[in-house]
Amino acid sequence: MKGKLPIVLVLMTSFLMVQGTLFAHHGNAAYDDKAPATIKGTVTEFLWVNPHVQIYVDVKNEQGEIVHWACETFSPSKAYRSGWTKDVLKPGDQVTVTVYPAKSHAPVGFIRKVVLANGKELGTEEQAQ
Amino acid sequence: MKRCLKMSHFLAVSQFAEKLSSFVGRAFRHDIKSALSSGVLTPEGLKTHFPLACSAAMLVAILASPVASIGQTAAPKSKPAKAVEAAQTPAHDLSGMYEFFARGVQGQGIYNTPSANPVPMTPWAQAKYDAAKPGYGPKASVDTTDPILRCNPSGIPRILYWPQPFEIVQTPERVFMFFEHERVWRQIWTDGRRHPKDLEPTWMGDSIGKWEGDTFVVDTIGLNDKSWLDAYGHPHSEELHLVERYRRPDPNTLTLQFTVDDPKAYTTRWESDTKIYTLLRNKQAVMEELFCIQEEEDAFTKRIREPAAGRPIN
Repeated sequence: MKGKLPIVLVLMTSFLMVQGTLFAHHGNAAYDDKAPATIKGTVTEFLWVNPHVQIYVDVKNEQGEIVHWACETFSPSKAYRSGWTKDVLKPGDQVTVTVYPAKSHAPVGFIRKVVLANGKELGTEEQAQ
Repeated sequence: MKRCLKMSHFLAVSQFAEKLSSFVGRAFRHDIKSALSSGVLTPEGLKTHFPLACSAAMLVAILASPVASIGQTAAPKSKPAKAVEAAQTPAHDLSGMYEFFARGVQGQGIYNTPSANPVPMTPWAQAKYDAAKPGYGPKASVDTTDPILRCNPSGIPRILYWPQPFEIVQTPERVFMFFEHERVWRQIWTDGRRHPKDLEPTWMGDSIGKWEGDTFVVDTIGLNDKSWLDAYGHPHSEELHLVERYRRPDPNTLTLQFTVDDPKAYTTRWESDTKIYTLLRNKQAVMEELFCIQEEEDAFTKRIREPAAGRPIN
């Protein structure tokens, strides 16, 4: 127990040091980086392809309808350097994805974070810096 | 507590704390796991000294962090640590794999541009800029004319500040840059030769380089006018004379600042912002295959870019 306080302090400091870059993405004009959205649903497709990795997710909206979301992030190589792998997701997986949604209000987003069913988080490299 | 007073233990703790604070001070670039695998931390040291050393490292980290130093007067920086770091920065050696991260700095990251300030375009360049339809940024358009979205090479200098890694390899006669993006490479001659006369314009141009003190200066001409300087459509002409200046301010960092001298496109010579690259280490130091494949670009445009831009799917 006595060893836990320093660890907590290290984590808090690490948060303080990275938070400046967390929200600093220079967004594509198509995406609204001022209003991140979090969606929760079932993976229908996970594409480990160039130019960008894509996750397609079926999300139930407030009316109970299924909305098919298309989410993208960086290249597979960049995702790999951030700790992703090509088999980290598969159709049927439950995920929570934080995105910068499209300004067009189409269900398309630029991925900032993915939380897997087991609680594991996948970020992007820019967050790690 | 008694154990801590033993000199050998104290030394071990302080050495470990120093290593850990160095690790912390590198802005958490590595996680504990990679620190363990690289030998910066040992499992035994982690187990035995972690709580105490963390406290010491925390103190160092807090004193050194910009957040904590607000309101403090002259927070002392560790001079010996700086000296050690400077000594470790290799002289006249750019070798390594680097990546251009966003860092929250304008002009860094994916929607990069040479300069955050407006650049002095000639009417020729202004007309080209106005006609350009970027695929990114405030003027983003689905029917973009950005050459790279048609799988044309980014060319020099745009490839230099693309947020994918590149590796620098030096030989006695040449410095090579290998880029993950587009899987292209360039060579910079360092054997004292001059530019050839009557160069045929190319995407990568003709580059010669030399060291001026701790700065590697690259002089490039012979570029075609098909590439843009950035994602926003700033053009350049075949008259572009580019001078790049590379420095390594510390072992983990490479910086680039360049001068754009192109009288056909710009009324005066202008300077880029300083671009900052981070050395990739251990598991992060990998480059993979990233060709531009038209079919893949088209599929991505259809499924992502078009709906994101508000064009109906199909």
